Amino acid sequence: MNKPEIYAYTGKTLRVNLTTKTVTVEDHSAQYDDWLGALAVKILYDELPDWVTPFDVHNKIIFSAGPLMGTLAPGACKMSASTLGPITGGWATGSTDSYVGMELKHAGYDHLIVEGRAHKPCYLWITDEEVEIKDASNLWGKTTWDTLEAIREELQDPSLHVLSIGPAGENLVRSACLIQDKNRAIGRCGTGAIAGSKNLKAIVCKGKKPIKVADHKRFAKIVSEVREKIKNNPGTEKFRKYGTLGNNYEVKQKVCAISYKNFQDCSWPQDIYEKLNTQKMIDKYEVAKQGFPGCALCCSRHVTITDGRYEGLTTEAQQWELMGGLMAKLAVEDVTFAPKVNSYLNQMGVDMEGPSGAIGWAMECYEKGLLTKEDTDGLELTWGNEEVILELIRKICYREGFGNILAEGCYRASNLMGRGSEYAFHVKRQDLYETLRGTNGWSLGTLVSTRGGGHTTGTPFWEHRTIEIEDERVYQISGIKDYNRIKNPIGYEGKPELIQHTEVMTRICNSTGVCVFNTICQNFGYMNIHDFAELLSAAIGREYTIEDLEAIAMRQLNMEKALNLKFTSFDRKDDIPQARTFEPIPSGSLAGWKLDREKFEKMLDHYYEIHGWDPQTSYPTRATLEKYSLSKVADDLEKIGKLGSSGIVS
Amino acid sequence: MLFKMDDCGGCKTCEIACSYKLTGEFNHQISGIEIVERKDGSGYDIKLLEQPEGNRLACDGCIDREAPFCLDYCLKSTELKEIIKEFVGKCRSNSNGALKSK
Repeated sequence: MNKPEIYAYTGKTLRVNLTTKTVTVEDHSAQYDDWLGALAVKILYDELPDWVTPFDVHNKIIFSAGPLMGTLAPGACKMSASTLGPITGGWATGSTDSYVGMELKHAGYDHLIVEGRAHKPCYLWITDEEVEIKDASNLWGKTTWDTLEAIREELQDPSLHVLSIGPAGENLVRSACLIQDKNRAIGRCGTGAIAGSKNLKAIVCKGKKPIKVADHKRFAKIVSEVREKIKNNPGTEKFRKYGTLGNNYEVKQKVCAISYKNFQDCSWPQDIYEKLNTQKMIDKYEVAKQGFPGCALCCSRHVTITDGRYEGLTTEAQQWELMGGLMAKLAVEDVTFAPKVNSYLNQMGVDMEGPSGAIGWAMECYEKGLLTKEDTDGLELTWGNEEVILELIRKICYREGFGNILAEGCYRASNLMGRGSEYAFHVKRQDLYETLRGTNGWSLGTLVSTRGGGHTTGTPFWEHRTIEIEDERVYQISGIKDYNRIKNPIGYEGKPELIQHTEVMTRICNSTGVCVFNTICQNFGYMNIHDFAELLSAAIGREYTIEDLEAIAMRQLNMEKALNLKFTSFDRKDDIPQARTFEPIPSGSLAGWKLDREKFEKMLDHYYEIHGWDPQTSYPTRATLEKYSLSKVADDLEKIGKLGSSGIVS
Repeated sequence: MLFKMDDCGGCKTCEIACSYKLTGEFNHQISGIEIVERKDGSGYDIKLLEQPEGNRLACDGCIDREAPFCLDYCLKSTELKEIIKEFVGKCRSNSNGALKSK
């Protein structure tokens, strides 16, 4: 009997073994109903032997392009890369706005599994006609920007889009990332280092196979409805103009969500805050817009700096994270340093949080006399020293001298130096941008994240921008009860439920290929879970309910947790922040306020309880895993003594 | 025909929309509108095809609709509308244009 036609997906997975140079095409489509596009975590769990470590040749890196990618669904442009990561040693995933992901689907594949290790540098050239493992010896050492140009020239096609690593990935810097073209990063978790360990310099895709949806009229109707909703929302105009550099500039300072001087304070001093006005920077330097396939917001732009130290620099302007993270952590006061350092990080192929976390730690240690010029190759690690920051990033990416230590991230650097571990701010060994004081749901969501921090897998954005909206309306669109009672950023009630909702939404986004900014994660009026159910039902041709989507997301989350339990020693202790987090906030709107340890622990207990995880250990119980059809995972965890013994199944 | 469009953000959603309008499938590589990256890396231009070229189909200006379909998905639709209007006008005065026969 002929297999029924597949819609939205391609139904094919491409597997490339770089050691044996073999290319195979597989069909995993029978699993799509249970996982949507989130097969990576299942494949890693099923296929990686227990003894594999991140840089081992047997590790795999999996690229995924979800079912909505390439369609007109708003923001359907996110491609993800997942692997066993070199920072946490466990679940590592990241995504980026991507032309490459769309092209992977048009080449005929939903997923690309890369395994083994090439004997010499290579890149993958994937089209709808063939897959080539091409020699990249001449590209090794090049920046991502030069790699893009060299590949376009070599393949004689200036329209190609390229996902590549830079020197950081080649040198196995733990926070090395993958850069699409010049400025879009699969940033967190060190996926670029894993590509580097496989001698994989780049991936280039181009195809012309069509993507079909099951019910045209129904799909067109819901696409039109959600696009209208976004277009007419009062928050859209400003977001289109300034992107994440708009509202965040005001609200993050207001709610004390700034990582000033390596998290010593939670807001900028007023005079510095005023100097760092990102909206004025855009008004002054913007030269062009930037958006990605399907996006209903197109929130980025290119800037050309026309004065000052970085005059002449043209680059895509960074997202907010660089301001609230690197610029704040290292106390830089010149706003034009943001595009400067952003472009350098992108060229070198390293996530902003790795170097900035390590340098922030080192600067605080230097300030407190724990490190001296003898430790730092003679560099003066004073706050805001732009030249020193750039030089340290260079040394990190080439693993030179003190940079070789910082390339390990703040957690490992403090261990290697045997000093200053109390100033190393990380979650599960990964450097942070997210502040952990003053916004309790955001903090807890960051801390429990299976990939080690980050704010795109379960941290509720809503606390930063609380709005006036009726509880009933919030309940209708999200299932969140008593919004107005729980929205207080420094309250403790209802935060685990808020996090769980965000965990569901971000997983639905990531596994369908949709940018969270086009959704309720950013704005109550944007796409919600009801919209996703309708979009997916129309596109795929199978009816999805809200309950289906919630179960799929929780299945993913439990599998991520299980992968961590299999490969790391993480448990409840790793969901608890460093001691400074429980100290009073020194200044700003929350001066004197501190996170209450007892209330935090109770909040964490409740988080585990509603997930059906054991509050003592954080381990999932058998009942929870079986609820999501993960009985074999429960057997596996029982064998290694990591099955939870109590918990309330939600 | 190549048109300068300083405000284009390069999202290519118009390409996706065009392919859907022309074929009922999503396949931006066959659309009659092509977003062209400028060599200096900042900004984009718009290429509209009078005739099929390679895998791409010709842009017919969506003359069967009140307004071109791609405009529904462009955040700078006012600018793009003018470009398509100019394109359609030029096609109509060009003996080789795809729109001549319509």
